[in-house]
Amino acid sequence: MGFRCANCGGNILFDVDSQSMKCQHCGTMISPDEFEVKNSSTGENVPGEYFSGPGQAGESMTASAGSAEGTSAANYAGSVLTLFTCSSCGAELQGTEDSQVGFCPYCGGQSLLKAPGGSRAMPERLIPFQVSKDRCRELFQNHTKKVRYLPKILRDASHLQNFTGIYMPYYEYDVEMGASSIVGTKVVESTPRYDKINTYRIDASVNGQYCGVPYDASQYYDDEIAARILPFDMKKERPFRAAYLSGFYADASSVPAETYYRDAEETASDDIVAEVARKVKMQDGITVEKNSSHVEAHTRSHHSTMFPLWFLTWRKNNRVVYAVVNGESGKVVSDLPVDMRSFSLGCAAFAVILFLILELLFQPTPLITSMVSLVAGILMAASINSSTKRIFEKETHANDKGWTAGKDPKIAKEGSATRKRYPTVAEWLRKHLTSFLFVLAISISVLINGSAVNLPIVSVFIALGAVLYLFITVRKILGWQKSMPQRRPLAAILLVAAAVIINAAIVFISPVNDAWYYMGDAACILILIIAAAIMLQVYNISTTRPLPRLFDRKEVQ
Amino acid sequence: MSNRMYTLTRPNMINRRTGTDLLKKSLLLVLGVLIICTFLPAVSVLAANQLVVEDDADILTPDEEARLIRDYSAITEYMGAAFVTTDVASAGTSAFAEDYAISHYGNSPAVIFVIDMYDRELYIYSNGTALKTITRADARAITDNVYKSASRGDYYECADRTFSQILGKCRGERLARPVKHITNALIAVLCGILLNYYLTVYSRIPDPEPRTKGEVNVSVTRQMASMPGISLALPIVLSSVKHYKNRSSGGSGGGGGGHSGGGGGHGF
Ligand SMILES: [Zn+2]
Ligand SMILES: [Zn+2]
Repeated sequence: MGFRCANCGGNILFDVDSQSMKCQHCGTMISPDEFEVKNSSTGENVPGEYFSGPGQAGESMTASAGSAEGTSAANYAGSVLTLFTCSSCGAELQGTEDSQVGFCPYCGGQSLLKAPGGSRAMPERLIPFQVSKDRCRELFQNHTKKVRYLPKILRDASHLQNFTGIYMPYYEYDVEMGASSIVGTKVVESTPRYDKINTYRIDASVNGQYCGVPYDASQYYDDEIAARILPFDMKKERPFRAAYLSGFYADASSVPAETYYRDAEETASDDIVAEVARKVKMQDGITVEKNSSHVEAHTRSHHSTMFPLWFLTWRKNNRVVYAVVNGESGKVVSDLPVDMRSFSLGCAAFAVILFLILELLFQPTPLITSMVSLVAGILMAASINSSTKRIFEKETHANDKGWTAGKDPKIAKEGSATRKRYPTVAEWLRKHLTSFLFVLAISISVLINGSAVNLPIVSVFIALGAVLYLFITVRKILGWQKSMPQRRPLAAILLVAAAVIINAAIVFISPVNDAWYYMGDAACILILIIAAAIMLQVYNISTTRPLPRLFDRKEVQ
Repeated sequence: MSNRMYTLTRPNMINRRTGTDLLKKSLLLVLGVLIICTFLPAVSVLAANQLVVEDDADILTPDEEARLIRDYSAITEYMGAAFVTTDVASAGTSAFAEDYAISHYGNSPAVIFVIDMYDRELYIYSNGTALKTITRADARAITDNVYKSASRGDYYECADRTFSQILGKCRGERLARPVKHITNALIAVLCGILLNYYLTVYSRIPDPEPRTKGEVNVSVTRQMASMPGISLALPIVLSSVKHYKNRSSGGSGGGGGGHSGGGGGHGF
């Protein structure tokens, strides 16, 4: 079916640049509103203007409003939209006949089958695509220009042709704000001997609703990407028209709307507190204690909407790599695995430079060598730990509330307040960078100032700490390992543990013969190098996602 | 509706094995270099000389002297080596040892072990490059280890243990030198990988999830959400506490309620 030009009967598609329906044949343009009204009213007895336009967006409609307009719009959508299923992952997508040029955004699958069956629930509103495919490719290329060791395929222009436009369902929640309890502090007097700190209660009266907190409504669309790809400009929202979907795909909502009630409330509360904090800081110099401040919030209503996204899904070693471009703002969110080949070359370059510097300036003593590998062991264990955590979360969808809620609506009803979000490797690193630097500073100052006497003592402490830390990390990873098919994290952490234990043993025994000492150290570093290679693979797994299997997909009204 | 399948060809994927293979190859290379370097020094130099024993104080039997020469001539592979005893007055054991070294070895590296029966002192002297192998600290440590044998009168045991430690030090040094290069190379490779890894990981930190854009207008605070108006009353002081910077200076002053209270203890 699809959409036909009234003029010449040619294919008519939504044109991003002109924001209207454009005939591919004769170039006739018509606005989606007009187009739909014309076409739907020919078949059915629907009054012409059943939406009063974007101005109506201010009043919130409660969900699943079985209004006459909604039903007729859905009926019309059902008659022009086709259901597709991905033959490799089972994802269901709606689209027009013209949507076929593309790939399954969830798994990167190459074949989408037309499936019998009606259309899925349509949202009340939608933001039309503002970013064309060409522009999207350009944005992605700009975004990844400076990314080192990017897999070559992500720079390949012909691969970037595979960006697929998809409308993702979101819910927007309207939150009623209540009483606030906000506490702040300020240093009112500072002398060399003491600081006098006042604690204040800040009375903020909050009037009105907090509107339009968005959460993704598709069970299979990753919550993390869904959140990071925000914001979308609410002002661009239009009443839903099936015509906008021509040339694109759309997913239907499959998560109960209650799922994010608590999250929306928390977000609203946090934002109001932050706003108050900003004002109070400016006016009175008072610092608000965000952890002990709160604004009562109650989700009053929600409405369904669709946001435009460009998806590029690349299958790699039975995992998927997502690149997503916000179809309204052009913001890019992408998984960025590391290309092994160019990374290895980079390492070689670094190693050569470091070797020359070391040969010129550094006479390794056994103790210092031991400490280098002990510190390296701790750092590596930390990285492997956080990468493994990420893998575990992606395997089990631990952070994806939509995933669990879609599977078990009970969870949605309970709506546990906070979506636990574990930090990424990098976030973790940033957080703990200070402690690393601290340890490093101590080590360095000891190396420079300390006499030969206390150096062994320090190394014994470092060795003890390393062994302890490795013990904890190995246990954690063993725990996660049960629900993960990957074995590499375990291999990596066990190698690091072996190196650390050997090293600690050397430090404790402290063999008289320097040669043995050096050999032991060398063996440890060699093990660590192998572990580092696996650590990178583990990182790569952590930046990609398991191949989705959505055959048991269910619909939620 | 017909079930039509749309099959599309994808651009060829990157060969997933190349990266790992390259990594494996470079690891093998490192391993190979390590093994070669480790066994290279094993091809040792033949003994060129003998340990010099000058027992002027006559505290060893000829048999003991022969045993020392047999056991420790290997030291001369690395440096000149002499065992000297004396029982005549000198400017001091260290001066005696230095004189002996200069007159017998000149500038060539040597280690001299002196048992001075007149001053009742042990002394190990090394010069030139030998000083790098047997440092002053080493000499002190070795004499500390053996002086008890000398005070017991067991001079052979004293000399035997001294030279065995010197020989061990020489051999260790010989073995350690290439190992030091290997160690440097390994440290460079490991730190190279880690440096590259952390730089890469750090540069890929994703932008945090967008939250409040507090600086802008109230109404556009939460991305697209519209925020209600906020009106603020004057802040009310709940409590006022003094935090002393000097811990020994005693309790905190001030009290709850009302306006900021004064008071507070003195230091010291
Ligand atoms: Zn036409
Ligand atoms: Zn698929």
